[in-house]
Amino acid sequence: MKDPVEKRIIGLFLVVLAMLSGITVASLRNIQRSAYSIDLVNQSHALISEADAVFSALNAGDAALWSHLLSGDERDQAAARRAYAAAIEHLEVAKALTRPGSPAHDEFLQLDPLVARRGELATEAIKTRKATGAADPGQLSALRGGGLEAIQDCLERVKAREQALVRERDKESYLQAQNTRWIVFTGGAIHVLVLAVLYYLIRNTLAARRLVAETLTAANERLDATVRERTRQLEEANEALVQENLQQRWSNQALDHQLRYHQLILNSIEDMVFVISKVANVVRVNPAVTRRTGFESQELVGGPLQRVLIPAPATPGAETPAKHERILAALKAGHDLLDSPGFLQSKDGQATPVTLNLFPLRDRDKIVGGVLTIKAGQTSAAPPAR
Amino acid sequence: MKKQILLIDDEAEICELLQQILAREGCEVSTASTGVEAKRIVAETPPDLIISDLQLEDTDGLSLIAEIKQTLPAVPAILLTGVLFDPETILETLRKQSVTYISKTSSLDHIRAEVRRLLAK
Repeated sequence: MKDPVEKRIIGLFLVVLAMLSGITVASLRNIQRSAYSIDLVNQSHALISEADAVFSALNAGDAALWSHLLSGDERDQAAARRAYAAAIEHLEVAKALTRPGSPAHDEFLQLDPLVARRGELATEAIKTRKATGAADPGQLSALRGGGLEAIQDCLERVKAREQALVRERDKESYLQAQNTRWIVFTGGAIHVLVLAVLYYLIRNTLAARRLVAETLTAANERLDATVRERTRQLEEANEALVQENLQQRWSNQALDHQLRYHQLILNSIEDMVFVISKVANVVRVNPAVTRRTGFESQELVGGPLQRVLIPAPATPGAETPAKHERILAALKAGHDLLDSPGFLQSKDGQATPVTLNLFPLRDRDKIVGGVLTIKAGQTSAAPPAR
Repeated sequence: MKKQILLIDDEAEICELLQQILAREGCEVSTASTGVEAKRIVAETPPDLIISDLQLEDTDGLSLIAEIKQTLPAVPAILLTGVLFDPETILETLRKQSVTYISKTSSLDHIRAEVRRLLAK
């Protein structure tokens, strides 16, 4: 889809082209007319010239004839004959220059008998001169008249008509030239006007496009700046994330490290260690427990402590308590229980006297359970009766 | 010119993590998992800083640092220590050998600050 301004410019160029074509056609036509008119003018001039020549030749012939008639000189006679022949010849040329049926042609046709009559008079006069040896005054008088005035009048009419035609054609030529000038000047002025409009349109279009380009460039620069800023922010955010990730990984490593070493310490202890809940259920045991009792840790974790550790009776011979009352009381009170007696019962049912120590586990001043360390050793309590 | 750091630890994860962290500080980090490998790297490319774990497969970090310092006495060194190790007990030894210690549970910021401080010397 073309721009409307572009369409207008193309339209104006087409107008300019059409005008140029029009001016060219009009100019060519005027040149052709002018050439034709020049031909006609030349023809008229030729006709006038031939008319003058006819009259001049007749006059020359008459002059030579008079000389011959008066002097009898043969050379004058010959000159008279040549002059009359030339007159006839010019008359024929003049007739040939005119279109049959035209007034000029008719005028020249009328001259034929008059010129022939002049010839006849001349011939008669020459014969009389030869016969008598002197010119006949009557014939001389006839020669003086002899239709010469009629010939002259006729030729003058032809000349006058042709001169009028020449003037008319001159006027026409002038008008054509004026016309051509007007066409050229008007065309030129309109061209200048159209070119000025074109210049205005092109200049405006270029200015508008420049403005659009500048706006676009400014928008692109703003966009670039925004993108740069956003990229910078993203890079910063990414850098922060990378740092956070590294920090996280390092912290995890540190935590894992700590956990592994704490576990290593706990697992390396040869004394049995139980982590119990507040109601004396087993939460965790160290490998020494599984080695000494034959229980797997999963068999003990989640179950009651008395499954593997039997509480000692309060007094020798008394009945074995169903619960670890002293442990539960110590956990409840939040104090340590040291060197307390008990019996470790292995998976095969064998009971071994042990000494146990309980340390309550505090999480922010709240007792969440306890750590029980057990050492194999003698106790004064009697083995449990099962 | 990038600063060269030699990192010696038999735990590949720690090596990789510290290598990334120190590379982001603009350092070129070489890693070794044993004392022998560390000494070979030192011979090829003398480092600007040594960071060594205490417990290695073929030696301990303190001995390794002492050995390297015989040829490169001015090179600063950091001993990476685990939670089992109590550096306070051998503080005097560390001070004599001009060795800084950093716990593996220290924060990254602390590690970076120590590295920058020692490299700026």
